[in-house]
Amino acid sequence: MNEFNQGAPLRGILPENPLFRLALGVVPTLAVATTLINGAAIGIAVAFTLLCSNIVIALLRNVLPAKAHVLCWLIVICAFASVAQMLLQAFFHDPYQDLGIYVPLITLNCVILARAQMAEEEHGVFTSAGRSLVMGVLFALVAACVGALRELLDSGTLLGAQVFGKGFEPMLLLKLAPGGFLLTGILAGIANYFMTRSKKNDKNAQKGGAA
Amino acid sequence: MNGITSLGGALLYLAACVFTSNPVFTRFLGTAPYAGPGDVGKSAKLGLYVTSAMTLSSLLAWPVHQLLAQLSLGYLDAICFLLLAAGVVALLRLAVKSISPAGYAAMEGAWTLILVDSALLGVTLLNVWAQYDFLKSVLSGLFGGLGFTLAAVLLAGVRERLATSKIPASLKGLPITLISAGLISLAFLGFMGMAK
Amino acid sequence: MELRVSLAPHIRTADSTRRLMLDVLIALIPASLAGVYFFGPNALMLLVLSTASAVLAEYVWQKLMKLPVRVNDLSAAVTGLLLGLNLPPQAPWWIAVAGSVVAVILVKQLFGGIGDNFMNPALAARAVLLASWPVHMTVYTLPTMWSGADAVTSATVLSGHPAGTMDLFLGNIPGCIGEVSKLAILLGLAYLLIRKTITWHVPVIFLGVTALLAWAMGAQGGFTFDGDPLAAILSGGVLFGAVFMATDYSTSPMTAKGQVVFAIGCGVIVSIIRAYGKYPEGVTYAILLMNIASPLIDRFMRPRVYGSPLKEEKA
Repeated sequence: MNEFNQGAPLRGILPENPLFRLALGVVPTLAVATTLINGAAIGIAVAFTLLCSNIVIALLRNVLPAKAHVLCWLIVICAFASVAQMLLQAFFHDPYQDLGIYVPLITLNCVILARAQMAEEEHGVFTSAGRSLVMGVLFALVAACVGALRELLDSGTLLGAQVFGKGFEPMLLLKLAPGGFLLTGILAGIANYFMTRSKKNDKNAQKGGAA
Repeated sequence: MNGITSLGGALLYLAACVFTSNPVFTRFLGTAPYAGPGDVGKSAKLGLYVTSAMTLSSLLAWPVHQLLAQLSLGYLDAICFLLLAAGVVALLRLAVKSISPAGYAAMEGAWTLILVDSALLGVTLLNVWAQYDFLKSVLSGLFGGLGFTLAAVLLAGVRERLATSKIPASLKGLPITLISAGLISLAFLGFMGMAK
Repeated sequence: MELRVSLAPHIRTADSTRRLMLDVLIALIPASLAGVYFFGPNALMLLVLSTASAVLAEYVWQKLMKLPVRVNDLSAAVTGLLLGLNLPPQAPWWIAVAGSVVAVILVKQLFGGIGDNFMNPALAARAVLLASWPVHMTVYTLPTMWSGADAVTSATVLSGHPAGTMDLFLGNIPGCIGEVSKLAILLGLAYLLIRKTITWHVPVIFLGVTALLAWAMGAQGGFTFDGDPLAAILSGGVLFGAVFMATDYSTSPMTAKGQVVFAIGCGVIVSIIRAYGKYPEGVTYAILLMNIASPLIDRFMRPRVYGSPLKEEKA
């Protein structure tokens, strides 16, 4: 987590892409992002949890004794994750069925994120909120994309509608566990590849500028 | 299917938890195998701790859940289990420290990893959602932990081997670990249909 | 000076790999010919396509990644042919291409190329194909003897198709292209043994354990000790797997003792899957699982480094 440096939010798209580069939310994405909707659903749940819990934690930070910090985070984050779960159950019942136990589990990913954030210098409530919102939204986008890709390849549909013609033979492996691992791993590799390329370009640009 | 009624049933359940529904390779639970040390010895120890934590958690979670259900406070499940898990991990940490200070020092960073590992909370929640009886819950924790240990050790063995391979730069680290896990998961498909 | 750390076998010039691979290709000729004879033009097309796709995939990858192009070490060709021989004879052409690409790129090149992959590429690709397009991968047909007649679908022997021992041996049965003719496979085995490409241990132990467990587990899978050991090793893909897949260097243990453990493990898992699992044949998964366990087996069987003390002396 040393490279976890929250600079401008744009860095979250590629260099600090939450899923592929920072290994956050691997479990929920692998398990749940099987369709576009499911990916979006878990992403939104994560964003919601991150945002709310970060606001609360930032507000409480000066009130709580230092030693109780981690415990309090756990409770707060878990509470909001449970709320997210109930909201999903009430308003988005279909995705809720698919997501199952993985919604409470996003607590754990949010805890990692919170720890990293708190390790840095003090921030106001608004900055914290802003950062977590950005992180959450980015994660949601990534999860939705992974879900969309999986849905396209393993069923030939997008949002439930047939996209490819009759000749398309869906790759059923992607419906199963191995498919999730393989697809996510390959996508992470691709993300890395573009990262290194952009880093190289940055370096070249700097050299050119300094010359 | 909510309880185990015989030794044969228990053995079958063991096979199911370790092979057919391996928590890491079939249910995606567990971040430590990817994020944690890619070292066989350490992974084995990690697995041992996780198994103990899981068994204890499952054991304690069952009465807690019964109580919450009685009070119609079911939605507090996750929070309570999380606190329970934190307590169990803290307890284990103390135990290991007093039994083997050297061993404790070697596994310094592991404790947070265990707590945050979705396998622990995941298995506990699964037991409750599937409404297992007490015995099955405890066994589920124990066997799930064994499955987790197997997964961690297998993955660590592969990662150790990969350390000397000429993996393309973009794939080093998380990507190739995920792909390896995917291939292992593929091989585990062979166990489908065994725990009838 | 840059030191390169790598895994055994260490003395590996392009030349020696090529010779090895050439021997394997030659050993595969009888099985290929038999498969094409029994199953006709579609089988031939699959074999040619799978081999060619594999070589092409490796060539393209190495060019794209700016690596030295090593396709003439023939390892990709071997992988391609092995994959083709593991396909059902009436599979569509794109299955062969997809399989070869997966084998060469996903399982082999992404991990670093020859010697660095930890799983048998052809088998892993077959598992991917089986899970992705199960219908195409499980439709088997009766042999047509190159007569041009339409293929008739049929269950395989392990799924209940009746077959006498001579049929099983010669190959006049439904199954994958390369696995049906045990005679052809044995010819290949003899060649490999004579050329010292492989040793007898892994194939013999693998088959032996399978036969033993088949006899012990009996006809109903309940340890009734009345099973048919000969039928067990002559049915399905176990002979092909034991000779050509379980003997792959980079995916099996390095020490002789380790290989024995490996072979026993394969035999045990095959028998378990055949008896209790949902698939009729377990060879693919058995070998893949033992591939995964190989680094661990190696770890436990590390030969003692000369000069280091034995445990008892440490006191």
